[in-house]
Amino acid sequence: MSKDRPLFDDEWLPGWLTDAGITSAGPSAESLAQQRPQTGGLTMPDPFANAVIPPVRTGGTAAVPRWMEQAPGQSQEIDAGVPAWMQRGSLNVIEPSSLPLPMWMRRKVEDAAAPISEPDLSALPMPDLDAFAPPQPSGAPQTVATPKYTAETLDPLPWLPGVSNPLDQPVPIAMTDSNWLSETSDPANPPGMNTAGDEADRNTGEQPAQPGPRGLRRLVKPSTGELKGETSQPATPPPNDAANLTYEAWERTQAEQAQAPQHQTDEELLGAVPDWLATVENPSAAEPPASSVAGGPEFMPDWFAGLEEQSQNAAPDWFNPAEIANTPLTGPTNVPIISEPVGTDAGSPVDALALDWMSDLPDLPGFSTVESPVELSPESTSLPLELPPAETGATDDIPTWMRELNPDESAVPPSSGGTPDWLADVPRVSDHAPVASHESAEVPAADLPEWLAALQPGVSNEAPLPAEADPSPSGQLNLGRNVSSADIDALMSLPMVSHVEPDPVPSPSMPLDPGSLSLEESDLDSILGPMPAAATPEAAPPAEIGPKVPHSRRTGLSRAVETHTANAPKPPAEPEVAPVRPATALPEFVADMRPSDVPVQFKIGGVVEIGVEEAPLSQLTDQLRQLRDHALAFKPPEPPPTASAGPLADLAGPLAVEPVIVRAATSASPSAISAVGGASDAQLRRVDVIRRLLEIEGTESTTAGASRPKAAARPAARVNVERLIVSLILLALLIAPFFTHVLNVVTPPDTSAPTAAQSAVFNAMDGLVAKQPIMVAFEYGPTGAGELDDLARDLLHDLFKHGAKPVIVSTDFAGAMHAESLLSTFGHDANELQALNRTADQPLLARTDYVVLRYLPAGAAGVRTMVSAVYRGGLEAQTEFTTDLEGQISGLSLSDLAALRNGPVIVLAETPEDVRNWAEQYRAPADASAVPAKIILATSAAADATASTYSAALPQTIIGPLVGLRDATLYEELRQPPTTPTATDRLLQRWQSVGLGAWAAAGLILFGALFGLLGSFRRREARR
Amino acid sequence: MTINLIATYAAAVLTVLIFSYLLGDNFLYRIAVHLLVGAAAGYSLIVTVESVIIPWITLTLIGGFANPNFAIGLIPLLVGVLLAFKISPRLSRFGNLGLAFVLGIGGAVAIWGAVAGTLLPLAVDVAHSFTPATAINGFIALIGTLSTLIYFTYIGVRRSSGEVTQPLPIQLIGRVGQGFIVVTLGATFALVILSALTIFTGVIVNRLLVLKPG
Repeated sequence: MSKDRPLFDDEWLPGWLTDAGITSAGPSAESLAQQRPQTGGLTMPDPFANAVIPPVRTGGTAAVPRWMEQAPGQSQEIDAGVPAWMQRGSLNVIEPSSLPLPMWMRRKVEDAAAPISEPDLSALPMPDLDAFAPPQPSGAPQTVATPKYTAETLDPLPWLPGVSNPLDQPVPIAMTDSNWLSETSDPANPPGMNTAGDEADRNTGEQPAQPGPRGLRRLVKPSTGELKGETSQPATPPPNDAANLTYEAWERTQAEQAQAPQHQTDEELLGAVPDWLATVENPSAAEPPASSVAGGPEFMPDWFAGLEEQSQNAAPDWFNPAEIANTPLTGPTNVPIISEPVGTDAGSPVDALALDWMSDLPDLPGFSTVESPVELSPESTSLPLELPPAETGATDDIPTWMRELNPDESAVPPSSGGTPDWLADVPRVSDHAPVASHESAEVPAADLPEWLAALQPGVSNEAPLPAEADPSPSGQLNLGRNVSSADIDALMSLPMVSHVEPDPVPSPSMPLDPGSLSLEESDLDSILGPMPAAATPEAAPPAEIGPKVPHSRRTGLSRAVETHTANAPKPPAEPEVAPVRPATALPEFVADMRPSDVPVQFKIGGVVEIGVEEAPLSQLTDQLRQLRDHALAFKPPEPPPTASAGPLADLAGPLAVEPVIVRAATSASPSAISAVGGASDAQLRRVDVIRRLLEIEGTESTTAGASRPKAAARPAARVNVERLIVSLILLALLIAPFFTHVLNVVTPPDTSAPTAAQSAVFNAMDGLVAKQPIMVAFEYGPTGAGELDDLARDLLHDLFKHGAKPVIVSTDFAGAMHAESLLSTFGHDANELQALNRTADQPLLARTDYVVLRYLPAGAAGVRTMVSAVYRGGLEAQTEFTTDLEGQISGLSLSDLAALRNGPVIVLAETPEDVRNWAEQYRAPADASAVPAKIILATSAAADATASTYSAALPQTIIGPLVGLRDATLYEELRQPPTTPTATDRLLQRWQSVGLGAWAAAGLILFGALFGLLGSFRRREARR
Repeated sequence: MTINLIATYAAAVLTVLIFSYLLGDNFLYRIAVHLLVGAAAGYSLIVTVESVIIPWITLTLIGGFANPNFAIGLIPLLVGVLLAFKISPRLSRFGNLGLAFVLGIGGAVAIWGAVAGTLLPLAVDVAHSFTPATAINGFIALIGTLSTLIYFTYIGVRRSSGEVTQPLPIQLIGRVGQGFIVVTLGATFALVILSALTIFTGVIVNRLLVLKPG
């Protein structure tokens, strides 16, 4: 189908090429075709290459390019009536004899005596969207001969004056002789469903399945076999002969052939029915027109293929301008609309009035402006599809279906038997529904939804107007104001006028969505599937027209009507003016068919967000529709109730238990569970635990009401007798040495010779110089004061004695506070002052004799910051040494920082962590000029092991350590002998107290271990 | 009566209240504990504001951009503000930034200190202990170190019964390491007890005996 499509469209060519008549295809290709026989029969790609065209004659040179004028043997002639797209380079001119009527109307009736039988409407094809199965050959009697309109028959007829459309002219064919009605008996060709392809067929005589508008064109798929039979007409020259003919000879042959009677077969009338119906009925129609392939060479030489004249309607879209006003109406614009049923008075002649109103008919198919010598009325816009009469009068000069176009005809309701099935399902339009005209088709913007108003040119989205102002009929397509003829695509894209005016006789119309009517997609579901759930709220269910269609044979159209009937609201008792709906309120079916303007946002994992444009419902495949229906019908299961008590209280969902397991767990043994679910041993144990928990919980829950008041009462403090006894023993042993010497069982510390660690500390302290600031880290608080205060006091005393200036830091805010308190006490202690050779009025003052710096936050990081401040200075030194704990200026200078680098740091650590922080972090930078840091460790007994380890591992850095009360006593005895006997006694009493307490603690621990061991043995024996 | 004496009496009373825990959890004990905790928290707040925040702001932020340390001063302030977002559950994720900064810096400092100040020195010290005079100590230290490390091995094999167990050599060596750990913990516990006893004696001397007349 598209194999002969031109490589380039003319509209893509530059203007200077098109002005010169050089086009890629189309008309200009004809000029090239003149030379094709000389070039081996190569053909230009042309979409109509396979179509049989009427004989044309070239002549004139008015619009012929110069290079084409030089072509030999051509008498070129340009007709002004030729459409513009053909005038560019085409020299084809329609044969004058064929101008008055299209070719299909010039066919001669071959079998006038063929009886006319009422078409078997039940055998008409029904578009079944689900199956699309090849329809079985209809069993309807094929007794109707094919229509045979010929030019000889129609040309002599006098045209009525003032009637512009040839279709408006009475057709002088006796109905008895005209077998056009036999078209209705064609299962594939219901009448009134003319399409572009039909029109093209008519225009081109034997031209079958001319490509029509997109979509429709794709659906025109005549049977290959049938069409092959058509091509075997004796009048058709053999392809080989035609190929050898010259153009002049071929032209003559074609002219003779046009004059000769033509045999019209049923297959040739495919163009008289909607292509989509033909496709449905004949699945083989999906194939390319066989006649266009096989029959083409019989009618013309190969070199002429694709160069024949085409009707404007048959032109591809890219030939047609975007302006729909210049596009002929070629498709069923109102497929589901059934106008006033034709009365059975078929024998009444058509009067002049009928012709008058027929003058208002639009540009009907087959009456292309290309071929019509009469200017078509631009006011004709719509063509309602009509049913053929069940019986036609023998005296009618025009087909009954044409008379049915007259709305003034009698409104006899059609019998069910006279309506084809496929039309029986179509909702009827109100009897009073006027034929759409562009005046009546104008709909106030207020009555349109916003999106419809936006689609309608010239209609603004203003505030909605009252509904009574809408004169448009229900279900009519709004063809616009200035549409004289429209392309099917453009027409299908026009907005649908919603029904707002109440109809006295409710007749639900088939609302058509522009999107669904876009036959380009060739989806019948898009045409028939969506149902107007809210389009005609006041419409009554349509009456059953035509025979009942079996459910299996019901098509999408019938189902659509049924669904609509079922869903349509009941008509009110009295006709009421439909309430004006807001413009933004879309009917459901429109909303389903109309994709959302805003893409649907999806979130994946809560992070990724993608936008997916919502496709209309009509574009969904059956599977997706089923999935959608399933999803809409899906209801999430109710969340399981949460347990109000028990181990699973307030938990739901994830712990939904299987009833079988629960029953087994609560009532049966684990073996039963294993038998049920094949659980492992571990799972059985867990189930058993849960079962016991549930039992306990159940027991508690049953007695919860009675036990709740008791539970509210706080249990009385239970004295731990063992702990109390141990504590009392330790307390007694610890206090006793302060009151008696009987319990002094601990050897006093040896003060004769200090240890190595003590000696190192003494040496370090002795190396201090006067006024040298020494950093002292108080890494203990009030909780460790009882152990480290003595040691700290001794060290501070030694510092002050050497004239050093302690600079107190601490990574513990309580340590800094305690240091300040301790120094304050120490600085005002008369004995200490006296030992320092100070009087009572010369206390040790903060920021003068010592500085308690601010506390170092962040632990190890704080120590590292201090190291950086000492060794690098800068801002860190300013922040660390500028102010003291009280926020006052510390009074330290840069020279003090240098002295800090040279002196040791005394660390009074309570915990091993403090020791580790300082031992690890307080290190001099890696430069050679830096003095290695020295740390004098004075720790508690708890940090003794850690301090000793670091001292052993870092002998160059760690000095000491001095540990707790032992070294404090030794330090005091060696370096600062107590000045008073009481102080000496206190020191010894503490030593004995700690010693005795240690012995007692060790004894209690051993006793407890033995007691526990014996108890375990006893319990083991008891078990045995 | 001086303030020191009042403080001494208060400390003695609070000490007795704490010791009342020997009779079980009681109101007096909780009063003492709450006083300690409350006083510590309040004091920490005061110390932090008075000795850390205000000096920092004064040193860096006062003066605005004219202060050369203004930009540097904003960094810890920003981190502090981020940490303040931890108060709100909804905005706590912003506080994670500040928390990550603090934890990252703290972790880096601690790891560096542990490697350079603990592991390497201790390893060197253990290696130096292998001298003829201290060979036994060195061997014990080596065995203790290796067995303790192996004890913390969490690699096992799955038996045919589905149970995951450690290989037998690992179990045996782990038992030895466990013994070292027990000894170490016992010694540490003993030192803690000794420290506690020392503290208690200090409390007796400094808090109780001062009240003894005469």
